[in-house]
Amino acid sequence: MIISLGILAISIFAGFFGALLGLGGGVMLVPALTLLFGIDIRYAIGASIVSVIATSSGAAAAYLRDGFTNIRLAIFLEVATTLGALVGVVLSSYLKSDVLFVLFSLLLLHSAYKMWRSDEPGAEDQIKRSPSRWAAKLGLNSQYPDRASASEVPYLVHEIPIGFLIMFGAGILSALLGIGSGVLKVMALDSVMKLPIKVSAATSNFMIGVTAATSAGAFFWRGDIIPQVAAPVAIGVLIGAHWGAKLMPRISGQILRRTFVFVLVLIGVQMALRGVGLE
Amino acid sequence: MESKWRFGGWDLNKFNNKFSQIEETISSVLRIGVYVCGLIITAGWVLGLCYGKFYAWSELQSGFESLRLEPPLNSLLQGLLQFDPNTLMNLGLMALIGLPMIRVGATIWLFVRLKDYLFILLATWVLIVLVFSYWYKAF
Repeated sequence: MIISLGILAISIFAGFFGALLGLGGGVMLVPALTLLFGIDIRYAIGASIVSVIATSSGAAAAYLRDGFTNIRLAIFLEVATTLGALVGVVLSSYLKSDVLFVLFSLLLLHSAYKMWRSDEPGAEDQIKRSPSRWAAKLGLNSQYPDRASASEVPYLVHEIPIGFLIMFGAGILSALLGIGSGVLKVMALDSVMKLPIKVSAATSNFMIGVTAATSAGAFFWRGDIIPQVAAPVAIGVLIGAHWGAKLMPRISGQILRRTFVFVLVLIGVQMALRGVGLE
Repeated sequence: MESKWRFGGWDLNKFNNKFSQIEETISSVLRIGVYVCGLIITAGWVLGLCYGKFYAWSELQSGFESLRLEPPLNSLLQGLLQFDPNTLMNLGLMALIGLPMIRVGATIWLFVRLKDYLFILLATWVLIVLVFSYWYKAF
């Protein structure tokens, strides 16, 4: 009973930050379930997949209603992610995941440094850049509500082909490393495609549930999603995601960005340790 | 809040009203789905806590190969009739994992309403991959 309630409490926390930053809760949940509660890694990963879907579903309704999610962009990039996941499944028998963990961690730490150094472009700066031909053709440019000015802030989507390629890579990594690729998605949307951080978090939230669902079926039918562990995780994450999605429109993009950089460093270190076998 | 922008070759006013109405409908469908899944999972979890129908945590911590569950689909109906907590939780989790499919399905409907044929095609591809990967290990 106490363990169940402990898992519930940690999951509320994971869901809250997962929804706020557009990440799955797995980053926090897997270490918590294995280190604090001693749960077998397979069931911890199974529960973390559920947490990603719960975070995504819990927050997506609110972000859609509030107009933060760019559905067209999410679906367009999800094509790349699903293609990548299929390639990743094929590659998984040829590649060593240890090396990939180290490379991935270096990429995360480098991106954290770059994001820390550069501030979010203001609305005027954002639309001053020359518009992408692809974004215009596909109708990806959009707008999001800004509470402070009580108006819609327009934004352009940049670097569509590079963003598509990164999402393809994110799909491969998800399949190879068994990770939710929310962190890579937010990073690509923010740093490469130059979306406002709130739109990046909401759009990533929409996408991570779909990406996680592609592998969740296999986990579920294989018996790796144990209801006793996954149920308190799902309940906690749904509660946390609800509150995270409520808070996101109220906080400044800069705070959100800095929090994301902090989490990026944590995940980078965690991945590096995993890569060198010190998990 | 009304959009006053036209940029990047894309007139935001053109689709905004229709798009946001449909987005709100999808949002409501999702919210109902989340509540229903959450309620089923919570019911099973509370029942399990009350009646102690859980595995010992020591077994969960050791990997418990011997307790590996049979595919939930086989025991679903029987467990539901017996109001078994694990079956209720499994049912809720199964529905929760299926929610992204509903989300993508609803998005296809959105693009159909907008007569946006390229995006109907893209979203359908995503849905096909999702449905296939969800069910291919089930039987």
